[in-house]
Amino acid sequence: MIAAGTIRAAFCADPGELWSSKIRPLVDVNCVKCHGPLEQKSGLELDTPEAAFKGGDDGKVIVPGKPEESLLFQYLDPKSDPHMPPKKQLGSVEIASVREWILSLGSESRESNAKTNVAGQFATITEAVDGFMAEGWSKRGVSASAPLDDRGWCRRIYLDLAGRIPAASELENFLQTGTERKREELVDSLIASDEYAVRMRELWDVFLMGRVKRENQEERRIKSGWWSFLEYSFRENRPWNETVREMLVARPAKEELKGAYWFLFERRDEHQLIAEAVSPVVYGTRINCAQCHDHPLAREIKQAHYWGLVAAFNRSKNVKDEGVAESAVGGYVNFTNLKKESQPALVTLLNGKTLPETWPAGDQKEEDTDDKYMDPKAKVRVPKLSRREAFADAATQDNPLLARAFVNRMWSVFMGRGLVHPADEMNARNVPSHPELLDWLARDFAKSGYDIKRLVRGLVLSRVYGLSRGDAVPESFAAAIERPLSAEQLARSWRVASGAPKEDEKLRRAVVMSIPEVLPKEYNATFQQAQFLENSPVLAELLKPGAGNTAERLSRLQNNSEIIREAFLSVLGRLPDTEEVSAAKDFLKEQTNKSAAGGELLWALMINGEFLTMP
Amino acid sequence: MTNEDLKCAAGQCRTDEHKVHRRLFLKGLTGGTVATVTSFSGLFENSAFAAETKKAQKHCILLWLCGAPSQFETWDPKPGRPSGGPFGSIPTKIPGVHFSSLMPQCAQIADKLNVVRSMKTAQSEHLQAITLLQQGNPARAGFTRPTLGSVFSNAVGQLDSPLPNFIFIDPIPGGNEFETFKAGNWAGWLGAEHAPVRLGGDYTQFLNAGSDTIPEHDKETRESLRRFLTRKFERDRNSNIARSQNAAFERLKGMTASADLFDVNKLPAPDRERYGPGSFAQHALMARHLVENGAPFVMVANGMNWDNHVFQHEIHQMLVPELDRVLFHLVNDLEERGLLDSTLLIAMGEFGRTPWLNAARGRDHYPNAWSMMMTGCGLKRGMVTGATDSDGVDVIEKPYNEQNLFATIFKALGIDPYAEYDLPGMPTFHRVENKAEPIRELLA
Repeated sequence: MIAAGTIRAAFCADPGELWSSKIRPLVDVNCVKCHGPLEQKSGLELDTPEAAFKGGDDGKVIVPGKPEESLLFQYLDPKSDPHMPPKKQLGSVEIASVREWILSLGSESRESNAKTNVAGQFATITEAVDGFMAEGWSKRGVSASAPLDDRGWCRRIYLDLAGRIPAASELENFLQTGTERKREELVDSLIASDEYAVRMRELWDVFLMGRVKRENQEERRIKSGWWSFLEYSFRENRPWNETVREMLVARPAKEELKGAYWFLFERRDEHQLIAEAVSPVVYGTRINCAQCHDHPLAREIKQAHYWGLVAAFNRSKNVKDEGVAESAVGGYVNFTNLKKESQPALVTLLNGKTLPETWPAGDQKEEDTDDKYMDPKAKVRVPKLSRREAFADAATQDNPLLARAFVNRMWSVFMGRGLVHPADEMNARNVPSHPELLDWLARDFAKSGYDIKRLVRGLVLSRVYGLSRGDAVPESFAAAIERPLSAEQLARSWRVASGAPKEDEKLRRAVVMSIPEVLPKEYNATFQQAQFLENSPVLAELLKPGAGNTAERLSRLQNNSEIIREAFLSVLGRLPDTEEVSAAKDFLKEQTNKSAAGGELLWALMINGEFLTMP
Repeated sequence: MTNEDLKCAAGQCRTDEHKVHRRLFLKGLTGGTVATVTSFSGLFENSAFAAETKKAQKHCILLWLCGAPSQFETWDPKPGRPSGGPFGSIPTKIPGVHFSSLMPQCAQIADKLNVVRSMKTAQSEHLQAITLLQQGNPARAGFTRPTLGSVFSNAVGQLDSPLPNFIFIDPIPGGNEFETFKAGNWAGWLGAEHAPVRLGGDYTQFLNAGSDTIPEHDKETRESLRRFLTRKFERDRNSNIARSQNAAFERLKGMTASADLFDVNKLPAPDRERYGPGSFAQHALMARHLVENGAPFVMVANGMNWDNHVFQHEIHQMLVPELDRVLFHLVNDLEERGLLDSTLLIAMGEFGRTPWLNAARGRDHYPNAWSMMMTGCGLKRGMVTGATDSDGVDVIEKPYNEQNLFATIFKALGIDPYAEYDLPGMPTFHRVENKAEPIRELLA
C-alpha cells in the first residue's frame, strides 16, 4: 500500500539504498539514454551517483539535501523549462523519490563505506565469509536471524549437496550424532558422494546450456557425453579453469572428457550464440546488449568486446557426429554500430587485450593450405594457430573475472542471491553488496587452483549459510533468502518422501517439463505447473500403497494421530503442530476412500508450499 | 493525485500504483453504487458488477491458419488467369467483389467481413514469418517481443479472471517450425503471467486426468488441506513461493470449474453439427463458447495444415470449405449473441502462397502479396481494401505490412498502438514501432 511505503521510507533514509531501489531503475529508463555511457548531452552523466554529483557543462545539478535548489529536481516539474525528460513527464511518485534521494544526501555525513575495517587475513573461506558478513551486519545496524536448528540445517544441506531431502533414517542419524564436528563430517561425506557430482552437473548444465526445450535435446546431451563430462569434472574436482578451457577448446583428449565439445557443438555454428554463452562464464556478465552498440549501461562493455568474442569462435564449424573443426583462415569480419561506422572484429578480451593477428590486406584472400593444419587429413581439422585455443588460454589463465564469476554464481546457488545481483550481470552497473568479500573469495579461489569442492565446503559451513529465513533486506544476507526447489530436487525428494524405488526417469522428466526454472530471478508458479501437481499420473503413482512404500506403511497404521505423525516426518522431516494435526484429522475423517487416504495426505504434504521451498 | 499520475506506462505498474488504480477503477465503473469492496475478485460475485464488466470486456478470436493459406483459393481469386487455379470465383454480397468459389458461405456474409488484399511482408520462412505476424514488428536481436495474445492479456485482460486471459487451442501438438515457435517465449518481456494457457485436444484430457481416479469429494478435501498448509506457511514465513503457489492453484480451481468449456465433447450437439466434424471446426466452436463465457483472447490453430507445397489444390479443396463454414457460423453466432461488436475476429496465416505451382503441384511461400480477413470490434463491415495485379504477383494498391495490421488491431480494440513499454535496463519499445499507420479505411 502507499501508506506502508511512506512509513518504510522514513526508516530508509540511506541514500545508497534509495539509489539502488528507486532512483537507478528510474534513471535507467528515463535518463541514461542521453546522459550515460552512450551519449552525454550537456556533458552530464546520470548513470551513477558519482557522475550525477559531478554535474555537466553548466555546472552541478544536485545540491545535497536541497531538492528545491537542485536543477535535477527542478527540471522534472511539468511547468519547468527546460523540462526533463524532454518528451515525457515523470509521475508524482517518481518525482517524490528523486526529492527523497536528494534530501537524504544532506543528512549527517556518511562515512565513505568503501574501505572495510576487517583485516583481510583469514585462514579459511568460512572464516572470511563469517568475518565479512558480521562486519556488514554491524555496519547496517541489523542482526542476523537465528541459526537453523540441526533438523532444518540437515534438510537444507542434503538438498544443496545431494539434491534431495534426507531420508528419515539419515536425518535421525545426524540428529543423534553427538560429535562437535558433525556438520563438517556430513558436508565432507556428501561432497565425496556421486550425488554431489550429479547435483552440480544439474546446476551447471542449466547455467551453461539452458534448460532443454524438447525431449530429444536431453537425449543428445547425454549421448554426446556432455553430462558425463560435467559429472566427471565435478566428481574428480577438476580445477574450474581447466574444465572451462576444455569446453572452449572442444578438443577433448580423454574418453571421460569427450562430451566437452558439446558446449560449442549444440549451438550449431551460431557464433554469436556461442559468444553470448561464453561471456557469463568467462567474464561473469552477459554482453548481449553490446551487439549493436556499446553497452548502454555498463560502460566498460564495448561492441568490440562482443564482436571480439564472436571472432574467437567464428572459424569453428561442426562436423556431424565428430566434433568441432576449426579453419586456419577466414573469420575476418567487420562490425558496424548504429551510426553505420565499421570496425574490424579482432579477437578481444574484456580487459581490452587483443590477440595478435595479421589480417589479409584489402581484397586479398588468405590461402587455406594443408600446412596450416596439424593433420590436414583429420575429420575434425585442428589449425596450428587456433583462435579459440588462444582465447581459451587467455580467458582461463590470466583472467581474474573467471574466478569472480564462478564464486558469485556458487554464492547465489547457496544463499539465494549473488554478491552481485543478478549473478550473470557482473558489470559496472551492478555493485557487489560485499565487495571486499567478493574480492577475497575470488582471489582465494584462483589461488587454490580453482578448487571447487573446497569453495563449496567453505561456503556451506559458514554462519550465513545456516541462518533461518527472515525478512531482512536481501542484499544484507541477515536472513536466509527464500529459494524454490529445482525440478530435479523435487523429483528426488518426492521419491524419498514417498519411499519409492530409486531411479525414475519418467518422473524426473515430467517434473522438468513442468517446472523448468532453476533459481529464477522472480518466482512465478504457472497454471500449467499447478495442473501438473494436481493431476500428474507419475506423481499419483508415488502415492499408491505398494512395495513397502510410505503410503503402504500409513495404510497399516490404525490411529489417525499416528498416521499424521508418520506422514509429517516422512515428508517434511518434522512433527506437526496442533493446528496442523487438527486440520489433518478433519481431512482424514472426510476421506471416503480409506485405503487411499494416506496417499492423499502425502500428496497434500508433498505439494504444499513448505515442501517446494528450501528450509 | 492527478489523472496524469495514474497513467500507467504500458506493461509496467509498480504494485503501489496499481493498487490505487484498482480502487479508482472500481469507483469509476460502478459510479460508487457498490457499497464496500473488500477484494477485487469478490466483485465478480456481485452480479450487477459482473454484468458490467462482461459488457466492457473486449475479446479477440484469432484463427491462426498456420502454414499459410493461398489467397487465390480464398479472398483474392484470379479466375481465368494462369495463377488462378481450377476453382474460379463467385460474386459476394458486396457488389463487384468476388471470393474463391470455395467460399460460398463467406460470400453470403461478405458484408459482415473485411478483407485486406494487399498484405506485403518481408519474411518468407515459417519460423521468422510466424514470429513476425505474431509479434507485429520485426524482431530485434536479443529481445523477445510479446505476441498479440500476450499484449492483449496485459492491456485489456481481466485481473483475477476465472478463465486465463490468453488461451491457445491447438489440437495438433506438432507442426515443424510452428512447433519450435510454440516452444518459444510467447510473452516476451511482459513476463510469464501473460503466456498462453494451452488447451484443446490432448491437453484437455490432462485437465481432466485426475478426476477419474479420485472421487470429487476427496479431491476437494485434499485441496483444502493443501491450501490450509500452504496458506499457513505463507503467513508464518511471509513466503513468496507459497503465495505464488496459492495463486496458481486458485487459477487452476477456476479452470477446473470451467473444465467442460475445454472439452469438445461437452459442446452443444447442434452447434457441433453446424460447425462440422474437423478438429479445427470443433475447436473454433470451442473458442466461441469460451468467449461467451468471458475468455478475453482465444487463439485457435491446427498444426501447420495450410502449408501445401504438394497437391495444393487437392488439400485446399478440403481446408477452405471448412474455413468458410467456420467463419460463416462464427460471425453469425457472435452477432446473434451480441458479441460481434466487442469481439475482434481475425483469420490469417503468416504469408500467402505463390501465384505459380511448383513441380509437386503445390504453391510455395509468398509474403509479397497476400490476404487476410478481420471483422468485429471497432471495425467497419463489408470493406475490401488493397488490391493486387491481375495475376496476384504484386500489390498495386495500398500495401500494408504487419505493423499497419497491428496498429489497426490495437486501435480497433481501443488500445494505444504507440504506447511505450517501460522496461528498466532495456531500449525503448512501443507496441507498434515506427508510428506505422493503421488501415484507416477499416476502422469504425
